[in-house]
Amino acid sequence: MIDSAYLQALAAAKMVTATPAARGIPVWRERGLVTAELLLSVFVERARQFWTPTVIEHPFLMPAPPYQRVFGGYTNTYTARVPGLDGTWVLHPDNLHVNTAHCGGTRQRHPIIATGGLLRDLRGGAVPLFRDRHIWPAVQANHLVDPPEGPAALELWRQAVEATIAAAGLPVVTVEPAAPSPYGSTCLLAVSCLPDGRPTVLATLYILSDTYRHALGTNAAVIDVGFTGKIVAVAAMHHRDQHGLVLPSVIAPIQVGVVSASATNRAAADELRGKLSASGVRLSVAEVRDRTYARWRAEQRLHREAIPLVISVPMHVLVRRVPMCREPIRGDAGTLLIAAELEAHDARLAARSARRFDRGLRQSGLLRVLCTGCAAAARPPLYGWTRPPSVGACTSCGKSGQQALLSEVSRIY
Amino acid sequence: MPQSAERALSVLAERGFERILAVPALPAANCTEHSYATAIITDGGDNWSVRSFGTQFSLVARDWLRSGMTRCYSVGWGLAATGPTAALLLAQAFESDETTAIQLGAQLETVLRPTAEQLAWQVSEVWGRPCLRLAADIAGRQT
Repeated sequence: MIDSAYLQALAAAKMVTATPAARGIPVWRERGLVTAELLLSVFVERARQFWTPTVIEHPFLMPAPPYQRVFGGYTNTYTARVPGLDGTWVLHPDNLHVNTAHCGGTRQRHPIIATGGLLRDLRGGAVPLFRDRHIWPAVQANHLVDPPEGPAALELWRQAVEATIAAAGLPVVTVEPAAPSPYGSTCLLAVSCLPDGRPTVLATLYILSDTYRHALGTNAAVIDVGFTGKIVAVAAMHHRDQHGLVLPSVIAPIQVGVVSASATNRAAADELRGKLSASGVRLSVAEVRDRTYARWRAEQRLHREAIPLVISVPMHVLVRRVPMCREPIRGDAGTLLIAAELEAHDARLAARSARRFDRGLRQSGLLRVLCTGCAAAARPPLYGWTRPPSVGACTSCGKSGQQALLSEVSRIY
Repeated sequence: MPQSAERALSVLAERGFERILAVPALPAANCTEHSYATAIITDGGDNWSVRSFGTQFSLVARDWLRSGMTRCYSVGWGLAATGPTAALLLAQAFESDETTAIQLGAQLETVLRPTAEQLAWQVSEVWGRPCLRLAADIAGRQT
């Protein structure tokens, strides 16, 4: 069961509306859209360190036959005839077949990163941003490589995925499940945790199985990497305090809130705004009456909007989050100080969620080094091995082993 | 999206419109009354509408009005007269009086017309308030 407080915090921060448009179809607002764009840009920038990816959003109306040739057995989609268009259309259920066609069609081996949303029929209840009918953002990267290069390329994608999840202030470990996947000849899952320490999957990485490779009509190894807005949902579950959502600065639409009294502090606020804007800091200025309570109320409003750092001018009081504290700025509120504060803010959030991960998985013994024999007899049973392998002495018998994830459930969602 | 279209969208932001996600399709049965101009019936027999050109849509939910969220727009893939377009703009605004709504529509048309392949807007009464609805295909035309 997932507590809905994260959703209330996201709504108070103006990231999504409090109620969805329909069951499983949340409405993202401007700030939520910007957060998703920032998260995507982390992933794309990381991928650009290795390749020259094309970023694309495909039309949501897709001809049904090419989709059904690849995913014929899938029934959780919406198919319809559309006025003004010939044939049968499917409402954007996946990007794999169009991404692969794009790569093959242009005879390029550069990856393609599709953005946008996916529509899937949902059996059972929706959990906004976590389990939806309209899954958004749905980021899906596909990369066609020569088969011998598949594992090395997948390792680079693992790094890009982990960097993206880390940007949301979340711990992550990549696991290769012990049970084979019908979808991939190699399957990796980026596993983080909920605030109570339970593991949850935030991204999937595959080298597709021959069945799908043949259905796609390629001899190349097809890498399929995907993550969704669930990263934002899990970040919102972790990063909250009594004042509301606290976003890591990397994905915060507004990084610094400036509170100033309109009559007396405009010059000081303008100077600060100019300085920070010039250095690329995303900021918002709240002008209030020059009264202590008015400043406090403005600070609280900025906190509810998930702004990591608030500065009150001209006194230059710095208000940090997690833990909340107010202290005067000694010296100049320059860009170096702000950059250091934002970095420290992100580190505090990451450390807090990492402690939950350690408690839930490491200290509980679910994530530990095991040899093959002890893993086979482990209770709870073996779920998979972490990647890249983390070797050491088996915690049960002392023989050589590697880090394994154990789980009571056969499928971690 | 061409730069001219991005400039046009900044005009919407300056006029207090908030961008929301361009949800591609909506089930007809929904409590917020969100809908688009083109109705479809899925193979499962469900009534949906798909994001498309036309002023018969609803982006703003009734309960948003109480919180002051009265002007919204979305931009993204949609169905236009010539087929799918990558930048279909749908904007909706609830105003205090009809004159203001009509003036706003005319202002937006002036800004968007040079960029738009296709544009239409109308003002009508929705939930007892004057409501402007504007649709424009801003994907292609270079100015």
